[in-house]
Amino acid sequence: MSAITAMLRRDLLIWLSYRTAVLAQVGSIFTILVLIYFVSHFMGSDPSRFGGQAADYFSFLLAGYVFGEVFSQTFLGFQESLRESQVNGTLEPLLLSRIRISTLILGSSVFRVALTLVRCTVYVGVAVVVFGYWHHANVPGVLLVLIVASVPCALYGVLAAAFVLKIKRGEPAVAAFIGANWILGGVLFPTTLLPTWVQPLAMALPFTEGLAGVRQALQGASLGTLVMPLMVLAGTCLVVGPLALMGFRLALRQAKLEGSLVQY
Amino acid sequence: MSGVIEVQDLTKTFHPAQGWRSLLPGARHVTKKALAGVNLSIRKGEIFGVIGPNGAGKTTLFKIVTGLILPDGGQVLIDGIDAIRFRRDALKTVNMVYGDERSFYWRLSLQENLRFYARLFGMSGRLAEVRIEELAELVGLEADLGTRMYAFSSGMKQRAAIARGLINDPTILLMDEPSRMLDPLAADDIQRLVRERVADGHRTVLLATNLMGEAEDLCNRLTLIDGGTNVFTGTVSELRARIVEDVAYRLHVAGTGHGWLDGLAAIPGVLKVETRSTAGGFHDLDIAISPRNAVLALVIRYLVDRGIDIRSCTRLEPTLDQVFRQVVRQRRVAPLEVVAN
Repeated sequence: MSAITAMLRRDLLIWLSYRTAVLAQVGSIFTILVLIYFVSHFMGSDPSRFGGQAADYFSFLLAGYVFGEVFSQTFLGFQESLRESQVNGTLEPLLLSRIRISTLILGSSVFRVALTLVRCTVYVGVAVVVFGYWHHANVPGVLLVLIVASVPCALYGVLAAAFVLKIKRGEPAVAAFIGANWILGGVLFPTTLLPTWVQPLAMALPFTEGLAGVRQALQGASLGTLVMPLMVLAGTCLVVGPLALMGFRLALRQAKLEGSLVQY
Repeated sequence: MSGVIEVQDLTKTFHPAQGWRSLLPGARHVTKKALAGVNLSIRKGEIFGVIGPNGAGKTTLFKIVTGLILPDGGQVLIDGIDAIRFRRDALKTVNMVYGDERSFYWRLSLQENLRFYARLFGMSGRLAEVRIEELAELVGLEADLGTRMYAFSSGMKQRAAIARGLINDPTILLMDEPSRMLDPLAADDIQRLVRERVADGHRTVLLATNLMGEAEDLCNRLTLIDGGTNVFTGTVSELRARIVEDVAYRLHVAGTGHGWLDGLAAIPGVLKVETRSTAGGFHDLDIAISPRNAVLALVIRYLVDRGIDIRSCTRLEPTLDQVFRQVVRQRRVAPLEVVAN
């Protein structure tokens, strides 16, 4: 646990050391809110178009954007941190400390996810206080779906990190994964608007069930209603989890065999 | 076998990436043999040097010992534990000092960097703070603990790397070219630090270096690696004795006569004679003679018989640098017999 805390503290201090960037991040929250607000005005506000997941397009898009960001960061956190430490030359000293792989994975992503959760809280807070949305939200339900849906995203992220170790530049695969989830996973528009033959593909993406579950909970759905998306997400974890961990161990072993651990 | 680190028949061949063409049938596969059977037995408490030309396999050896690269064959035992199969157990009290400046978080202060690594090694907050203060004092950076590392000079970063290497108070410390990229004065500082503060008699230090003066100054024993194998393992004087076949002397003389140099060169066992004039009509006479027979006595008698005044006679020890050049050049022409003590 102390290693994870140390990595969280390290990333926080590095983040705070870029003071202008911190201010820019705060500013970006309000820019995004304004953009979402204006874009949603052009899209109309017929709730039937959003499959019962939102009262209007503003709340649909805001929830999609905010929680899509959380899922994206859980996916990106580890592999971005791994790549950074390869480029910075800090990976080998880190591994010399006999750190466990599970600790490395968790510790590398924890700050990015925590930061995104803070941003998420600000967005949701503004939506509730300023715009009057989600007053009847099932908060424990939101948190439960958020946690369960983040796990498969993080596991896909571990698989992506295995690619980074093997082929160094994993950006094309990462962009394809994030792009597919943002376009087809129900972030920007409901998956029910997709052609019928594309919808099964959308259902296979980790964002889809997560966002659907979160939106339902924000609308006040009971825990009983959330069982189905939670089951699907848990099933995804069972399939992807062993694959991701085995894939990463294999890639790490391969990098040690090739002597390419710090190559970038 | 009683060494604190035992390396046996270590082999490693790299297969550099060649792109998609290498997948085609009949494609040529390039390989690079980094280690071809390295053997070492390092004793507790000694400073053991690993020297060799660039690309000899020194860094590969260090990375295999610390589990950052997996070997193709052979064994590494640290305190009797197989370091390849049981890495976490074997590396409990091992740490490494990198010669690479990039291995720190430059946006953080030295204190924050050291605190981070202390926590990774499982040290509690108070213990870590005490240790950080001690180490900063040890490496002479106590006034710079709060300074961000991007403001450090190369010498300061190297001192910081030593402090990080000692953070878990390792009983075995590997130092990979710690004076690389440093000016001679900064390199002297690092060497003094290693000699006086790092190697305390209980800690075993494995030092890879290309600086022969550093190896000569610091190491109890060393191994010379070239082409992935140990060419020699022993003390510096053993290496000299094995490699250098002639003995050199410098005589400071006065009163030379006509034709004396030819006569000197004709004495059996005199291999080479060089002379140069110095102030006051004196000459420095450098002669290389065979260590066999009493050649020096013959030389001195020859000079005295000709009335030449010998003011001094000094044996010239070849530097490790000269020995190193000779060995590596000889191996390029005709490989030496491999010796591993």
